[in-house]
Amino acid sequence: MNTGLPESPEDRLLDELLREQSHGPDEAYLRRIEAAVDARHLPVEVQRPTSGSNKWLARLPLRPQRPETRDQMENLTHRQHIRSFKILAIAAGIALVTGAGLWWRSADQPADAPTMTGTEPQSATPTLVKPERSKSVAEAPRKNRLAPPIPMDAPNRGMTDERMAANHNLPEPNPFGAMSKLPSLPTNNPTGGALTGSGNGKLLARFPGQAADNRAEFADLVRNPTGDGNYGLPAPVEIIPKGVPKGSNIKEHYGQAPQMRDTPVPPSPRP
Amino acid sequence: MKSLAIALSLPAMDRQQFSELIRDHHRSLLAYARVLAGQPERARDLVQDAFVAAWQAIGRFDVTRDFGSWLRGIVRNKWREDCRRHRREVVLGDPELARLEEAVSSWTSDDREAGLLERLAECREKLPETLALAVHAYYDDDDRDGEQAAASLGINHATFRKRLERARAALRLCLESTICI
Repeated sequence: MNTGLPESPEDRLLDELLREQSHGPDEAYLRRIEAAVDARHLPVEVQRPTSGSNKWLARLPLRPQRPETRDQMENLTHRQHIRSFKILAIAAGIALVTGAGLWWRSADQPADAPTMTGTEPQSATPTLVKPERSKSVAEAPRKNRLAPPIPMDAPNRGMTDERMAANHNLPEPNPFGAMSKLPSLPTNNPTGGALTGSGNGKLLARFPGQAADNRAEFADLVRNPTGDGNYGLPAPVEIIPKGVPKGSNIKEHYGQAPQMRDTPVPPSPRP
Repeated sequence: MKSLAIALSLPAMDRQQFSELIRDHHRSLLAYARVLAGQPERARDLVQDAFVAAWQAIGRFDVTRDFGSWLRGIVRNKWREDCRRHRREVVLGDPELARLEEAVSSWTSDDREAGLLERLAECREKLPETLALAVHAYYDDDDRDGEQAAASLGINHATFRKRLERARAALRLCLESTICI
């Protein structure tokens, strides 16, 4: 039925106002509004964190729905804070253990630089003691199958510095001794550039006012204690293909280095 | 107006004071929302959301403005959001909304203690008896439609509809004239 409902917004509002007036207050609806407002009671009393590292707290579900459960929300945020502190403590512990382990491992590794000790307690003549090389480096030359093993009773096995120097006709058994007599060393400094004994069998290597070439020479000695040009690294291993007798030169055996075939090899006829 | 006096006490408003504002404004706001939404349940949800938003933004309320006007603005925004979310047609454009807001502002007075519904009740008491009976027969009984209301008054439908239109016009005039007094 067309009851003459108003078309204008003003008349429609008046129509709705008259209906609302006839209804009277709706207490149930009022309680519903109050509950909804209480559920968002946080903006005034408890500010929800929305910045920094606590943004994840802002994504928590909006609870409580009733004011009597508001304390539960505060307890929830407190528990979340405790949880975050636990996570931070665990992360700090893991970082500490990892760092300590790395430091311990780096401290256990042998130093690459040689240590200089005197051969005699009061001797001023130093002896360069090579660092103990790792097993892989020490045994690397043995991997070259072409090199014959050194017999245990070989005369040059386990040479001392003096014997090694004698074999190589070195002027002094110790390279530092020769270096100490270099003319570039300063003479006005009683200890300058020389390797002097400290009195307890150890030598102090000092280079006050030393020329740069002496330092470079010493650094080269440190890096290349064996003097083989490999700087302490194993010698390059030559791969010998099958069919080549040990000890023979590959180029002499083949006439030239083996090359790859461009055309495929035809299959051999089956017997 | 008592609710405005409460609103002017911001920002020291506590939850109890806001409850009084809800109680004062929720009925007229429901009528306003029903004009916008057209459906009673949607209007109730809009008003509830508007009160929640108002409570969340109570610190930003300009105390120099009317609290009811601020609430109606929130309801309008909520209604527009609802229309966009559910892809509903916006039946009222900006000109109609402006006219509606102007009418409500003219019907409400800040220098009077009574609210809009109370003033409407005063105006109803001033209606002639025939018009008051028509209003009572149509609005005070939800289960009765226009035909039944006309039948209860013993008049035909056209006469009943004419009386209703005259009653609305008189009420609007009463509400607007109250401001001028």
